[in-house]
Amino acid sequence: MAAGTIGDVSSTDQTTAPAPEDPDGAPPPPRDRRTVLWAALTVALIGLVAVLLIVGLTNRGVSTTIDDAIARGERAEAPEFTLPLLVPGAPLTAPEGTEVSLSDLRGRPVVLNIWASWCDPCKDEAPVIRDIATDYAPQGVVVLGLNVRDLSGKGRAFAQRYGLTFPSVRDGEGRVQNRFGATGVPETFVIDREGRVALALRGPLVDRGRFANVDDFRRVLDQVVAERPGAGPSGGGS
Amino acid sequence: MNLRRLLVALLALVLLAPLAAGTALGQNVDVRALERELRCPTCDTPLDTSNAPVARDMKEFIRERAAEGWTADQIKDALVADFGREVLATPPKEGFDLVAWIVPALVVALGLAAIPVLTRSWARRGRRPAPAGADATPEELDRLQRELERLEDPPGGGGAPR
Repeated sequence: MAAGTIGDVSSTDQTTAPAPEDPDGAPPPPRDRRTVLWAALTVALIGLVAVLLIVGLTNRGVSTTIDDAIARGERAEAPEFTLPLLVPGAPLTAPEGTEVSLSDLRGRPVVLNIWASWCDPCKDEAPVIRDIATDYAPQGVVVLGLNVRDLSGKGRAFAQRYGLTFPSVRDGEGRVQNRFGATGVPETFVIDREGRVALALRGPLVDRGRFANVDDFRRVLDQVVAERPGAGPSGGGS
Repeated sequence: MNLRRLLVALLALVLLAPLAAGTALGQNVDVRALERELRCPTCDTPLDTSNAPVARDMKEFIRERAAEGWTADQIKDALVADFGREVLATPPKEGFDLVAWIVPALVVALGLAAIPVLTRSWARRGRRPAPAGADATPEELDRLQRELERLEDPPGGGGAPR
């Protein structure tokens, strides 16, 4: 008895009496309820981590909607963007740093060329793009460079050295590049007057040799130029 | 007491070492260390181990700026301005990104704090009340006494079990 007194006193004080004494059995013992709560909390936490993991992994990939649409003979809406001007040029002659949106160019065909100063094929491609810019300027076509994942100083120097007379905007993080489903550099897109992608060239524009593709490119561009504003056809693609 | 003081000193050393390294870095840029803190934007690997064209450009940029007397933070800021925050190998210790630093530390601290609480509650759960009528009979008490005596001086003499 002497040894048990302390335990006896505290156990009679406590309301957490063992379950068997409870004849009604209405509420479950508090300890069980707490266990259930902890289990639920743990499951919820694991579920949350799993959801975050899945969302993170699925968002890593580059978009394929543009190519999917072209494969179906349709034109996907070009991802809208607002980016600072790195190299001004006609018709975007505002000072460097001015924000330019793709939607500002709605109503005119746009050739969007992804480039970087560290990209070797871009050096060969530069004069080809420049020629397109010169040739199609009278028809209202805007050639817009998208300088991606590049040191801004290097990008500016490249534009000067390789005579990029057309304007370029900066996408240092490559976010817009990803949204266009671009995995490499260079890539070039033809965007129609309605802001839809008519052609996605996943590689450089080449004007001579076995891999020359500039004639096919110009053919699609001619077709897009010929489309009147408002009268958007559903055809297109290469 | 001495042990506790030693532990506190060690903890302080561990916590303050990065700060000390940081200030040393600010005065004279440790280019290799800075490269480890950055990421190659095209290949998603640490800058010091990547050899992509843009990574080479960035390394050149870092060396040039360091030679011009820029601090590590100035160089980092310039690169963040060009490539976004994702060039940083670790999130910056400010604003919302602090979460990435605080949460793991908090989880560890909570886990450590939970150990005494949990062990105490588990120990309490294992403790059973003495069965009813556990009072020893005189015979049992007598036997207990004999057993205890035998333990104190075993009958076999020196042959105590090890």
